[in-house]
Amino acid sequence: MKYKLIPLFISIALAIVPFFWLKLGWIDIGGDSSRLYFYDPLNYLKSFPLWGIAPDGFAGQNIGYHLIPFVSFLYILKLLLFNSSYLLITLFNSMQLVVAFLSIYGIVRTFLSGEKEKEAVFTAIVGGLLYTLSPGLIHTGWDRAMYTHNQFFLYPFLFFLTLKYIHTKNFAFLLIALLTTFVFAPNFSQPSPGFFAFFPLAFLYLFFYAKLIKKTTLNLKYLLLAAFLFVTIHLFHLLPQAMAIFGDQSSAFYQAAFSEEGKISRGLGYFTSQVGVTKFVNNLTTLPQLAPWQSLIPKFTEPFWFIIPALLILGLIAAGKANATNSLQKKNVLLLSLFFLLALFLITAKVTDTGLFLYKSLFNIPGFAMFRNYVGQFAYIYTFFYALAFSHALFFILILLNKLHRLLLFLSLTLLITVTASQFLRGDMINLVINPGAKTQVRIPTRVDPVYEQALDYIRKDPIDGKYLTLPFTEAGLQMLAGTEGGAYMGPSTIAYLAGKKDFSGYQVLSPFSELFLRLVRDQNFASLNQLLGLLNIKYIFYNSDPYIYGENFPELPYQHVNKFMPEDQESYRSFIERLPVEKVVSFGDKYHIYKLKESEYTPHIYVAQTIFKVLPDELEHVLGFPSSPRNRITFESALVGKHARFLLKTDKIDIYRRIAKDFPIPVRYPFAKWRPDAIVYPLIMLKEKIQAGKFKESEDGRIDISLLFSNKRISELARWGGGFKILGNVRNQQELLGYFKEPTFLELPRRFGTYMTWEANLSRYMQGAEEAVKQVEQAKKSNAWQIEKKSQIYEALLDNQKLLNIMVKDSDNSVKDKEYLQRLLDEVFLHYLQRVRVEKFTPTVLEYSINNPTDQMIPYEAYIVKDTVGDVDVLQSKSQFGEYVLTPSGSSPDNPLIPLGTVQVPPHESLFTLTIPRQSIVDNQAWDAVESVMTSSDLATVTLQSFPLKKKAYSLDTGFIKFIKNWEAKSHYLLSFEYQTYGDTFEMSLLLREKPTKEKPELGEYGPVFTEKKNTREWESFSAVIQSNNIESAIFHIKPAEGRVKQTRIDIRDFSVIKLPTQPDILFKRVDKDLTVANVSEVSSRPTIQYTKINPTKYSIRVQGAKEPYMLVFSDAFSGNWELFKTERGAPEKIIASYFNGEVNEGMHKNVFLNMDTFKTWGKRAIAQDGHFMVNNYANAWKIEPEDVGGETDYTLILELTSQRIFYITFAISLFAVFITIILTLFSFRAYGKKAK
Amino acid sequence: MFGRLLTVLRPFRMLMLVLFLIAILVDTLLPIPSDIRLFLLLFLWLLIIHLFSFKSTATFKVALGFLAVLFFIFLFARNNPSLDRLSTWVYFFLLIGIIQQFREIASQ
Repeated sequence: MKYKLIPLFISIALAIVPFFWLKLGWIDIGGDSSRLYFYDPLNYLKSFPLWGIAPDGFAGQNIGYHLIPFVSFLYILKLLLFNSSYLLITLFNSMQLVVAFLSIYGIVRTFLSGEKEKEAVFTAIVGGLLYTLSPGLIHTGWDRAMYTHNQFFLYPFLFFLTLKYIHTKNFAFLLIALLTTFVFAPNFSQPSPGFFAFFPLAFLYLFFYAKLIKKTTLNLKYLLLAAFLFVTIHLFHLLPQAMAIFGDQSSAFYQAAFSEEGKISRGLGYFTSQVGVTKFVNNLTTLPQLAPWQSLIPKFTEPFWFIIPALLILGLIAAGKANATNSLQKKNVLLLSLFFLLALFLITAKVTDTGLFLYKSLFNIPGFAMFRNYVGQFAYIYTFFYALAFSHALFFILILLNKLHRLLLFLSLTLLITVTASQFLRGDMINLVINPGAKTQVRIPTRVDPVYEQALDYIRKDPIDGKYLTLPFTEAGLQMLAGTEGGAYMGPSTIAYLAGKKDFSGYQVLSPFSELFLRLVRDQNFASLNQLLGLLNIKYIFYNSDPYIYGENFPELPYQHVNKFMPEDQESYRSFIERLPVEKVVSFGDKYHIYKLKESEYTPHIYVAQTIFKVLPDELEHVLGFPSSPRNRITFESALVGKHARFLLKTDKIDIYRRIAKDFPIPVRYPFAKWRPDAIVYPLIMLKEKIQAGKFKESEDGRIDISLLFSNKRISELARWGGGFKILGNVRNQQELLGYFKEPTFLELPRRFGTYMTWEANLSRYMQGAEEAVKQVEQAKKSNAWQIEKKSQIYEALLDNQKLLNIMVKDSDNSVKDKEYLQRLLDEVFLHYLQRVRVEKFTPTVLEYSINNPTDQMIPYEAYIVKDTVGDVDVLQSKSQFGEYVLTPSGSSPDNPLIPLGTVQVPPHESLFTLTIPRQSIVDNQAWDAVESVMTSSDLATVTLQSFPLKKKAYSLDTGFIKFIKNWEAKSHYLLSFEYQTYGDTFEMSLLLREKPTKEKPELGEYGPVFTEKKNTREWESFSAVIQSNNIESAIFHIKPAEGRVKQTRIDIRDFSVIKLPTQPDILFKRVDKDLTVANVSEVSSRPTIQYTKINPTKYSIRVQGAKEPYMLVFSDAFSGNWELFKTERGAPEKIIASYFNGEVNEGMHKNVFLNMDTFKTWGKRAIAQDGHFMVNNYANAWKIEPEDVGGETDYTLILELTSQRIFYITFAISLFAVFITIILTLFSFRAYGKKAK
Repeated sequence: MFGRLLTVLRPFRMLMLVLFLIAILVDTLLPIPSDIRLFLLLFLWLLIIHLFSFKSTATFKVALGFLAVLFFIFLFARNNPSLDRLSTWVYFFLLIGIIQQFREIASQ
């Protein structure tokens, strides 16, 4: 009977193992979920899960209610464990291992109840170990484990309880499972992929097991009751979650589940990228899908893992032969193996191409995109079924073996599993490096600095309701804290999650102001930066000056992008902070410093707006940039800007890319033509094209693109089946060609079958597409800038089409007469369309802009160049032409981000203006090298071709004349342009490039052609092309007479230049009327006095006094329609702890009350000023409160409440009641079962 | 219909088995896997099962054979594209074997 003690010994061993993972007193916290609930569960609970908002800077709605039972459970555990976070984390890890092992052990023992006991015990032990220490699972989730990792032990445990219920019919097992789900509610919340990966398969198996193997009836009444209790127990987080997801279609969850972008781009796109790197054989052997350097398992053990599938197959063979054995066990091993194969299909995805196709089609199901990381999501259910199928199959082998062989096999398997997991068992998964690549390695385990704990306590107890900015600023809003003896915490802000203060801790948290903040810091624009801090209600700056967490130890994560903008080291950080309008409040040790914004700069959390600017969100940063802007309580309102005269006008740049679409490589796309136009399915293809085109009815851009695409497809058809197209020769000119072909109706199809297969029909259809695109441009009521861009796009597409069609005609097997006929038609077609879309020549030294004054009046504005955007342009040498005005930059102080240009009267609607800048060509206009004697308009020296190492086959330089272009700068764009006149002859113009040697290609390469175009004109025309120079060494521009077209050749060329394209600076216009008197800026003259008191993060009391006139109340938390104002009876004034603006805004003594009688005071009351609730400052809430909203009263108290929190109060009460009922039912069920058993 | 097909094929069953083994070898070595090839060969195996009255054990043994080949290729060339193809063969032979054994138990 000693073998029965083995599971106990293994459990004890597994419980002890985590005690070696962390040093005494150390913890592993940080990562995406922070795990701060292990460190300080009570303060975590108070700061986040109880409230429906995130504690970060903007305090947007974010539901964390599901964490309440789990964090409360941790809090109780911690109290029992002498308040030690180390013990809590270690014992939690022990629990995970032990419960996972015992659950699988219990499941296998339950399956094999009544079978040979010793073999059953050995089998169950191996199964338990295989799951718990599986190579596929030891790499997953242990690193700063999120609560989602609880699925590792939780789901098998719940499976075990359900299996016990099936076996015993004791309802208490199901009820215990339900109570367990309450404690671990986070694992049943949100659209959790782990839950949906595990339970559908697990419950399906249990259903088959009960019906086919156990042949038992499932009591539907009990199952429905259990399901009802489950929903009720979890109502407190499921309902608010569902309301948040479905109530807001812009929410991330809704978009991920239902939008095409969520399903296809983020879901299927990511999935497809993963499929390629998934190795089927690794799944078959339970080896991890990791690169060797990421794997923790000893390499020599990997081949031994083939034993597992081999034993599974041998077990199945043994089961087939074991006649004496219970056939129910045989069926069960087969059923388990089937589910194992199903899970293997899900975790591998590419079991045959057909399987992959099916898998991909599943992504059309809303929500399936959650499985895009399918290997990670299905790892648990796969390993679970693998362990069960394997151990069950092993049982059939063990019963055939003698005692010695049985023991040897058992020991070998145990040894294989434990040796493979040896690095995991010693804690390598916990002890990971968080700054790979840095000189000094910093690992996850850490001991929290007691000095920092003091700082945190100080912040927590600070009575002022102001927000924090944590520095050093990180990328993902992570806070960095060094431990006392090495290691570091890298995770969400502890100031937010443990001190309950709203904290801007990084780039992602500061969105939509992140880029602006970084630019202002980089440009040292302190004037605007100060205004931004005020706008964001930032009161304090928490600065961690520890060099260990910034600088060379962390060159990448978590600073990445922000590193380019923020101070480079701690010394510079300190100087930067000192230049802000702050004063030091307190320092803790020599690392942790708290600064306070000077009162003149600070804007409180709730205030009455003083100056209101009507600007669009994207203009906000520029308003902040004007040093003359008023300070304090300024509010930016975006609503109703409409056709009002605007404070700022941003210009639209008509840049080079709008003017010339001849980018490199040429962006014209020719779709693949799969079917011949006389194929039987071709009318269906046409129908499909028609439907596709119909989708773009409302979008001119879309219609242009699709028309050009289908035109190009006609060319693809000619290219693929050119020989099959007949030439009828019955079209006289391009006008006839346009109307030549009409798509047949359904009834005409049999008669006109095959009429697509003529050159005339195909070219006619090509023309119709081109005509549609050109018409769209001509008829659209869009800006000039748009028209120039679109015309340029079509122009370049037509040029490319012309080139291809000319080649096709020339290279076809048609007669000379037919070729000439087609060529004449093509020449006419392209002449016609190229003229219709021709735009004026672009001059790179004259930058074009358009501006739109939305009013019907002439309004004076001052023009500014945005300094940040000038690049390498010497703007002080530039001049701007705005109608009759000529503006020249007058220079500005280094602090000023704007360079004034002068004042202009901006006419109504759209106007165009230019900025002329100095630029030199990198090539001389005169010196052409002639390949052979040709009639030219220039004097040329003769050179031979042999000096150019060109591939003869790639490009031939056997005639014509050339120009060398040197002095290219790397990573720049150039405009190559000139004017030409060919006197009716056709010339080919080509550009050939040669790259500079690189490390990869140390030798100078050959010239390769970039583009070739044919030109024929009797008037002066212009040619231009944008060249992208990544690493160009030199280029050759080659012009030669087109082969076989004309006998006489003459071309004149002038103004040949290659000019580096300048950055086009931003120009904006600010009204020069007196700021405070124009319609879009207003000063609120009469403002009430307010005193606000925080009741909790979702509720504030605001005592208003002297509100005689309408006013705007601003609340600087993220805008949500769920924030509502209620008028209540006027309460007694509270103690004032801070006062601003000469006593106009006061802060009362703030509280953090979760529940009291006042909680329900506003329930049933009507919210006020709901119509006047809107977003200001691009994120905050504001209400326009009229005297009639408050019954004409001037002194009253308002309650500002996040009403969605009420749903939580109601559902939490229901859930707690359901938990109570479940506990009572459990006790009754055990009692009833005990009686029945007796 | 199926019975008649079996009667016609019965004299050639050895030839079919040899063909099957050669085809499997070729399939594994071919650089581009094909589902049509795979499903045709699986159908051929189903015919062979009927022609030879093979039990599930035989199918499992073939799966074990594939696994053995997989093991040796894995030992020497872990990134060999044949690994995925052989894993697919193991997968389908396991699946067929399991279904066969279900039928055998049902028939008992």
